[in-house]
Amino acid sequence: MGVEEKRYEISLLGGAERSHLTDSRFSALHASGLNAAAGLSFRLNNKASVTELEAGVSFLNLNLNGSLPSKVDGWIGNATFSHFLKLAGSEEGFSYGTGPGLIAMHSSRTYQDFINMNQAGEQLMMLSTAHQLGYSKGRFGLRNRLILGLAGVVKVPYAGSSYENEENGFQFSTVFKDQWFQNAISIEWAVNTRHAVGITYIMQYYSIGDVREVRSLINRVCFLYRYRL
Amino acid sequence: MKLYIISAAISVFAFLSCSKVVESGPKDNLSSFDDLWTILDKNYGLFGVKNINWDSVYLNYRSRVSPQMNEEQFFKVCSDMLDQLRDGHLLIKGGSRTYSFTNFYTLYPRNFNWNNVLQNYLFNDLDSIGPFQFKVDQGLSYVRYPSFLEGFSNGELDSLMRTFAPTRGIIIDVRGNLGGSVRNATLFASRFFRERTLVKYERFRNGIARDALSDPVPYYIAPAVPGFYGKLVVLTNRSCFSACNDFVLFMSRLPNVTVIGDQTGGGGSIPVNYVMINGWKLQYSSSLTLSSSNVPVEDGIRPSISETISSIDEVNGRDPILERAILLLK
Repeated sequence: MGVEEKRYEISLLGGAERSHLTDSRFSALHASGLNAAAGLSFRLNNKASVTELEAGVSFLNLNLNGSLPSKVDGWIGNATFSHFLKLAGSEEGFSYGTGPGLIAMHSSRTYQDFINMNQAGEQLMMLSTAHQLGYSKGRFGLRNRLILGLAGVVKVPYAGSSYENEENGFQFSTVFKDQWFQNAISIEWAVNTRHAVGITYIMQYYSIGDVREVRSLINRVCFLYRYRL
Repeated sequence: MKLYIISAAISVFAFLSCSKVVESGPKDNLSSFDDLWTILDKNYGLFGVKNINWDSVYLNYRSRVSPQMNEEQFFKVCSDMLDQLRDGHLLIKGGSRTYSFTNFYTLYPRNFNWNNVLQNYLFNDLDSIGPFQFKVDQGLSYVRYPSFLEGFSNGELDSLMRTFAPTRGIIIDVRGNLGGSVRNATLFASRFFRERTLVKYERFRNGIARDALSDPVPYYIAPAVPGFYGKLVVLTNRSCFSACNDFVLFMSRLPNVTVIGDQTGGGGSIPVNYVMINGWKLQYSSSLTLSSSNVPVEDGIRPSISETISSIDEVNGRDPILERAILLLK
């Protein structure tokens, strides 16, 4: 069976994650919790490249570990666009691809036990570098994908309520100041030529801000279902 | 492949940096004191009007902290330090202990006795909708909102306004209301405005310099219906603080409003909450509130008509502030 010119694939992800978040405006302590997460991706597999568009969302349900209860609710949404050029390997065995990409992220949180200034969030849009290392043999496939933000615009963390005018505009930033990266390891099993299932482990991290700093680390495990169009 | 190794190396560095997210850090007394002092140093919005040397405060009070202190002793040092700022928004809760600065009303006459109002003016006969306690009698409405922490629905506010619609005036009693949510103050006030109105400015702390504040951010009240546009009297005293102070500030923009009683307690700033590294909850002022004519309202708002309740009045069950309001609306 020869390699097809184009292959379209759509994937659904759903699972759980352990999330840690520190927002220096509200505490030097981190908030943590077990959240639900979901994702959707579309992939175009060409002979020489792979183009991937992926969106994911985390539904935050965190607790700040103080002596009094402090719940943090919210969500983090990510969208990544990556274009990998196949530099080495083939359909069977090892393969490697790399290329440019784009990251967009929005994070929004409400500190439920606080009043007035209890909402916070940050936004980011960065050009990225994306790398993909794969191995496949028969129905089995293993893939590691790394996306690293390089430079772009970041909306510095804001906190407020009805004070929407608080200064929180977009600023230019680079990886040396603000970081966003995601590493995803997937193990897949092709059920037949159209359907594949698997498990994905995603580690995602971002750090934004200087005077007021927000750091988030997510460790997510998802079930994956892939359908070849 | 080389590129992958380079990016993997970068991700290892990033992974190491992200370990900071899950570090709890030391929680000893000295670190906790530094956390408290520093968060105020970087974020407190009222240094510009407090006229205090915050570095001296650090040296003075940190020397009193030792790792061996028990929690009660350490709490006392932190409370004493916060007392220097004389700010009613400053609050620490740790375990069963709570510190808050209350001199803004405890040093002044109370000018409010709810039992006297209830027994001698409302005759123990009042209704309630949501957090609002009210009575409609002889074409006059009286409504008390005890705390702006208590929320309400639009439906509840609609019902309240419809109840008041046939009356010629409303007495809004916010004495003893220590504040809460500015949103609640805004929603309640919006029922008395006919048009979008600038009611205050907010200047947020926005830099390392202690007096660094943003340009004034205007704050508007947009009208909501059903509303009430007849005569209004707002009753105030020194324990009308924070969101209550804001409410009086908003209402005093209206030409049909008379404020009667004592000066409000102030608290013209937006409080922010923070969880210290030892788990205590801190609240502090993050901004400076200015009236629509650019005057700070941190120390309170003067009434249009000053009136007080003497101790003899109180013993006799009288409330001259409420009586003045009734007289004005007759």
